[in-house]
Amino acid sequence: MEYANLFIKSIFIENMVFAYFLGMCSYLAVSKTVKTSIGMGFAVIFVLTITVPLNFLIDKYLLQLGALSWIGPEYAELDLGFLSFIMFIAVIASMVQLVEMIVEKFSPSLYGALGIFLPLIAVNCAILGGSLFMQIKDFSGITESAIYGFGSGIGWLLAILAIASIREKIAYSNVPAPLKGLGITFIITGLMAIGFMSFMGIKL
Amino acid sequence: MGYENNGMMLLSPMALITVGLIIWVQRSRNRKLIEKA
Repeated sequence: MEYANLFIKSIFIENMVFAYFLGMCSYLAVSKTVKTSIGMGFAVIFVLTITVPLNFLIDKYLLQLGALSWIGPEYAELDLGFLSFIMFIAVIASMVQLVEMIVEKFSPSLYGALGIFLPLIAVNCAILGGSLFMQIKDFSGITESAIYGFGSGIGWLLAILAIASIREKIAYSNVPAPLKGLGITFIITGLMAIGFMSFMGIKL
Repeated sequence: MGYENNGMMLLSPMALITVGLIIWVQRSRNRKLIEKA
């Protein structure tokens, strides 16, 4: 039940896009069509699901205060927490390289459609944010952090899928010319974020 | 009486809506910036 709560919470209540406004760059740039947004969403889910538990292990067994005590008692005083940014980013960047190679091999058309935004997942705030929230939330086990990463990824996919569907539909609507494109997308995102604020009262 | 301020514009999503409105104003003043369909 604990895990289910965490899963639902990471998707809806702490949605990366609508609650924390993380990962907005690729969210706005890749959401022109549903097809590319699904590809991007699954790439983000994959990277988050792998990197959050991996970074949890690195944090727990290498970086935290006293984490190195498994080597010997003289290392128990060591606190390598200041290295967490660079370690997390290294893990994320290597994982994104893997995703890039997989997408290039199995779906060259998606690779072309995502363009620069596929390698830029490495610097997507939502990915590093997932790892840093994991550090703050002080999870007790690797399963919890994996579920948190997976749920955050699903939440991001949900957000980009929703905005891409709306943008595809809105092409047939009579939007004032100066508001077309980015302007109306910003306003719709704001309205969706207000909608997602209604989840905030739920305590899980 | 009238509109009672409930702080709605102070919510975080309103930043996005404000940016959207600024884009609207800017692109109305400078028609070259309008995106082609």
